[in-house]
Amino acid sequence: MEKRRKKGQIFSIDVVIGAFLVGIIILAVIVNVGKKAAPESIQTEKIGYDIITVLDYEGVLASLDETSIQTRMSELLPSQYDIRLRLSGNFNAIEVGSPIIQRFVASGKRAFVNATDDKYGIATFWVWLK
Amino acid sequence: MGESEYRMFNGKRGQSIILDLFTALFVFLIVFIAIILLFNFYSNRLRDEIFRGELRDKAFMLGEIILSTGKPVDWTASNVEIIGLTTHDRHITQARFNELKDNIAYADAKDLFGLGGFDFYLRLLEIDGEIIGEYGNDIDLRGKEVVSLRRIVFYEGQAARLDVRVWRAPIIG
Repeated sequence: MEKRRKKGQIFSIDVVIGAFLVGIIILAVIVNVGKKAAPESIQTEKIGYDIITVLDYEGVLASLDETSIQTRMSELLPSQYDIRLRLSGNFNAIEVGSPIIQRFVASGKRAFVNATDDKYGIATFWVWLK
Repeated sequence: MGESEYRMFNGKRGQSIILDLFTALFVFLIVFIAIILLFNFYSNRLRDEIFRGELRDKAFMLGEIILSTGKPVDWTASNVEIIGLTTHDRHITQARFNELKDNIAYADAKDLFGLGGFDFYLRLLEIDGEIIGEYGNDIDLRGKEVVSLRRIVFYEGQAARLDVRVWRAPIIG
């Protein structure tokens, strides 16, 4: 009788272990699928690069004029985003835009040159969803 | 042990074994049903995630292809292999946009963009929101799962917005 009871217990433990393993595998799959970069973060990063590229082509970055940069950046940036921009190089670094407060922030860099004034530097952006 | 005591002992042993069996069966069924339900729940979630992921991938792919130079670089409707609307870094030209709009049928564009099973809609706007041009399937998208992208580009040298929408085409037949 004792032997039979033990067999029953082993059978139940077997099921529990099996269920546990299946659960672990399912969770691992879900977690790994979820690890793929979120689409909103990809889109946010692309918007950041778009803005900085347009500012560069328009010569706004190279002007190093905080007001012009801020104004143009606000015009270009879709309303659901916020951005901060830092320009550094062979001049006094400047920062424009909103203070960074969000959890996910996409960032990137672009080099720019102002050949007339012999100034060059790196523009670093941080962009996030409001 | 007398005969009557032996019978009683045997009977109790039988009851005990059956109780044991039912308890084990009950536990097994509970766990088994829980596994089935969990598996069903997570496989549905996984399928939805794959479904959405595919839609997002198509939308991002379309956005990137449009902002490429295309193939051949000087493509026209008659020889196009990849429809890219830019001459260089995010610079869309009117000539290329019009070539797409006026000379490439929507079904052909879908094939060239690799959007079999999906529909799309493109809209170019000035930064202030005035529409420059549009292309694609402009339908009422209420109730559909749509991926919308916005890119900031140049159109004829002026900053502009490019809106891209992709959704699953209805299954016909």
